[in-house]
Amino acid sequence: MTRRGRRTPPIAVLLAVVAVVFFALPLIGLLRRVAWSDLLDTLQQPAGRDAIRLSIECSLWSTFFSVLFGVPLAYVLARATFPGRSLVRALVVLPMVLPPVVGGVALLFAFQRNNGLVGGVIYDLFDFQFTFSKWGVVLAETFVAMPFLVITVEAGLRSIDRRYEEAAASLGAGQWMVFRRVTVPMIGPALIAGAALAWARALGEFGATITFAGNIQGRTQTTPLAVYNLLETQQPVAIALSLVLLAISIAILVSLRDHWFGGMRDTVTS
Amino acid sequence: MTVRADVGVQLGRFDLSVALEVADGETVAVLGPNGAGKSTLLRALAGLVPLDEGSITIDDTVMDDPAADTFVVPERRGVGMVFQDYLLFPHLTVLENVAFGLRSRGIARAEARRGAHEWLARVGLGDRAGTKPGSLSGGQRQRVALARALVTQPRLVLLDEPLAALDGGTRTELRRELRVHLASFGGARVLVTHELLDAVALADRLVVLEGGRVAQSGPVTDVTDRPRSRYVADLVGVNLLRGVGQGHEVALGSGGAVITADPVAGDVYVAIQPHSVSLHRAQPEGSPRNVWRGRVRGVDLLGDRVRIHVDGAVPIVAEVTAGAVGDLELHDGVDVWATVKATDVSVYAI
Repeated sequence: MTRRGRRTPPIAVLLAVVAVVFFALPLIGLLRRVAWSDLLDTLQQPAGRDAIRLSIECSLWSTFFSVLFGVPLAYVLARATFPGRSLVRALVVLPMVLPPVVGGVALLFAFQRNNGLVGGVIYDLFDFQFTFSKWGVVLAETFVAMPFLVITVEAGLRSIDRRYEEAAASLGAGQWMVFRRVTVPMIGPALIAGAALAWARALGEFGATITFAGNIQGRTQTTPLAVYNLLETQQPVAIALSLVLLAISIAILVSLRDHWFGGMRDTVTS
Repeated sequence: MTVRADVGVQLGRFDLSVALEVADGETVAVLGPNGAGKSTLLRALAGLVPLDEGSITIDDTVMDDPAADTFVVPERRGVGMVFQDYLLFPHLTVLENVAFGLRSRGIARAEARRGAHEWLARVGLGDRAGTKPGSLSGGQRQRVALARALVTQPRLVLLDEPLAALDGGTRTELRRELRVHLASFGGARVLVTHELLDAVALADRLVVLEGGRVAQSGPVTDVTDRPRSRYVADLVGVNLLRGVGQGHEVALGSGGAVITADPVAGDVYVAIQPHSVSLHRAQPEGSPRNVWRGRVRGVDLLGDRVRIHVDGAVPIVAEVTAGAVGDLELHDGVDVWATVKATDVSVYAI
């Protein structure tokens, strides 16, 4: 804090206050409408229960696939040199800035049963289609969530001292052993943060899911879709579900506090 | 010969070209200024940098030979390495760090821990097994790093500036310990350092690297007694001059001449210990054959001794007592006479 010396311009303080109010108002508006006394009963409504169960299941699968494919992808992006690497990274990061509904449309033309790029082949071979199924939800969520994991883990890999890996190799550890016992523990915080971010993104996914997987209760209607659907017909359920998503978001924010805001807090207090 | 290396590595505009042989039970110290290629040489031996030319053979096994397209990855070389800043795994305990190499070789956990414990006890850290490296002192980390490298009984152990990160007292103690541990280990050892004292205390042989080439090599005393480069001369703290000998005189490039006790011929190095140089404010009379005129161009304090840099036809550094500095009023710009007995001049061929 600067008690002496230059002061913060009043105009900046004023505008900042407006911005803070702007962020706080919707939150207060939502919390004011929550019927706290029958919250648990409201969540037991079939539409709400189905949505939460499906959301949790699909978002966890999507986080699992994001880690399974995202960590190797981050490893290759951080460690290998090959032509077109920045192009690949751009492709991977694109879903973060792409409007989700466009992602959903793009997924349709790749994976739908009729005239999809590979959807028809998959259907012919395995008698399986992503659209209108739980796995369609997982696919859509993974598409938008994995980039968060990839860029976080890649940054983690770039920040560790590679000589630790060399030390491990000089001690006789093969590549897998080095990765498992040295690399992964050293990027642990980044991996956890990336997975949490991916999970949060998957949980909140709306546009790509509704466009690609559909909006069928108990099958593809995740919590955000249910909130949107029930806002007109069963408002208390929609509010209760919103509250659940808000609670999860705050929990993730708190768990990531040290990873994302630790450094910033230090500069503020010092 | 256990290790036979002919290392040729190209790193951007820097190229390293060094031939090195190390026998079992022998310690070779690689000495050189920063950027001479010392660490690169070690990394090549460890397999962390592939050779561009030459070959590396350890115990008759070819480890690297670009011409034959042979390259053995670091984890299969059986080479132990102690890194300059130790690189102890921060997420593993001290015991797990030392057991790492044994576990990597597929040795069962219990046995690996037993072996690690044994080595920790040997380096005097048996009671710190369960702690993380972060809470250890510099000297303790160094001991753990040494135990971690030696527990696997490597055929060749590489030490990259193992004492550089330590301060005075710890350094002396660790140097003595390192000597004991290295002596108990039968394999070949290569030690990189830029401290002459480490090299003299720990090594049997010296290899001096400058600009990616061997500037001088041989038994420690040969190198220190007869330096062949400015770098080694400065390290040993001796005046090194170069000239052409004829009769009892060496003519220097700078125009001056040095009188020698024995007859000399051809291109030679002249080495003169700074404490053999006497300084006078007036032209001295007496037996010294070498009397050179010059001007003081720098005064360095070195404990209770003072080094006076004298500029002239024979540029020379004299080591005198602090008292002499006061008596003779030796300071920058003063004209002096430097004298050296011919018997104190060491001359050897280039």
